[in-house]
Amino acid sequence: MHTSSFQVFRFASIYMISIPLAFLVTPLITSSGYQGWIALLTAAAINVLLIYCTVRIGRLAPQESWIQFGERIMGKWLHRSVLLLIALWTIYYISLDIEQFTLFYGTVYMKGTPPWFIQLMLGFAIALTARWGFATMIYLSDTLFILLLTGLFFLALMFSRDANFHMLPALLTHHKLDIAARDTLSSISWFGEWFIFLFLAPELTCGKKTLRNLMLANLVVVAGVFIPWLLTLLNFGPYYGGRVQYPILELIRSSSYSGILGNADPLVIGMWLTSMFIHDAFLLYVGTLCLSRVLNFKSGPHVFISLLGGLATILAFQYSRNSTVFQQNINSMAIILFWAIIDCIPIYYILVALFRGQLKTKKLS
Amino acid sequence: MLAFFFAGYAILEWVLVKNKRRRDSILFWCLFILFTSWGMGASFFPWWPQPNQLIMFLFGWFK
Repeated sequence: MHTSSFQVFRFASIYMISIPLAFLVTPLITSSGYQGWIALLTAAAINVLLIYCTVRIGRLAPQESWIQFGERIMGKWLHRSVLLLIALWTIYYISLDIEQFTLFYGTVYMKGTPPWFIQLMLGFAIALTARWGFATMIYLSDTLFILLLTGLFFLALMFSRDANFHMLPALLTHHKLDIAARDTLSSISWFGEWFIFLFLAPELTCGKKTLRNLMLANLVVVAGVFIPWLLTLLNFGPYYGGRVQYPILELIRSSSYSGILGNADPLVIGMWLTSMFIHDAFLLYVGTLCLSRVLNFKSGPHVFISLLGGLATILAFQYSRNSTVFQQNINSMAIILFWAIIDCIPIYYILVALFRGQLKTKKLS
Repeated sequence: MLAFFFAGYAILEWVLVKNKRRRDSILFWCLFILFTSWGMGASFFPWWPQPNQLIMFLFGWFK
């Protein structure tokens, strides 16, 4: 596989932005209103710590997979327990993504279609994408990155025309600490899982430029969420903006543009869906690697793709039995806390490595 | 339906693997039975537990 250090930046940007771009804006406006930018920027600052910890761990053995050398930091059984937790977490995450997309697509475009059919299509597509392998995901993200940046640029250009910029001073006058703290934790839960890039090695080594690349990806992700958030707020206001379920779609449909620009939602959805496939396929890939390591399975981890992908799809089917409870649960503090605990995995490893004096040496023995 | 589809897909993936180790074969079939039976339970019984319920049970005290 032909690699370059900048591929990490492109892949990380696509992976991290795909889900919050679509699903973070509305909850953020609902709970924070005008001060959502404080939560986003604070979460971005906390991400710097998470990224640093991730890269620091990765640099302890850059040519080796973290799945292997993590045992030398945490100990064999504790590390394998963490891997098992990550494998279960990946199934859970994929199931949430499938259900959220099913709710979106099923309610907007395929009203009469039973949810299980959409979930089956999605689950199978994600499994096939993961089956193609890691190199395919990297190359897909290389192409999609340019399209995504172009899309964000046009989004900002098109919808700032009808935006009410007189609302901007409200961004500075509204600042409650408790709301900011809650939504910072919520934002971390949406785009804080930087530990996932420990699984890039050995295909993409954790080198000197990895820190720079992941920090740049952090900037892209925050900008990619901030722009739609601001546009939704300035176009719809805090009340209606918090009630619009899919703001980017509503921005396109309610715009004064006609022709292809006013009907660009299928194009936007197509691009976004590809990024979601890459996101979930990588999660499935990581889950299979973790499970293979835990069970010491040598006959090809790809065999687990069908099992893990199938379970994620069936979990999504369970959620679809009661969508209201599902929506309440995923925005609850319990789920947000669980997510934050998982996202802090690099910090636990750094603390243990620091305590064991492993950070003083450049390479792990 | 979903459980059957992915069970069939898993069997196809396993059949295509060359050089299967005996230990891996046992592991795969154990996992297959576990995942498929869990999936069927989840598909057919509305009361089957979900991850959200477990997380809410463990962390629901956090407001």
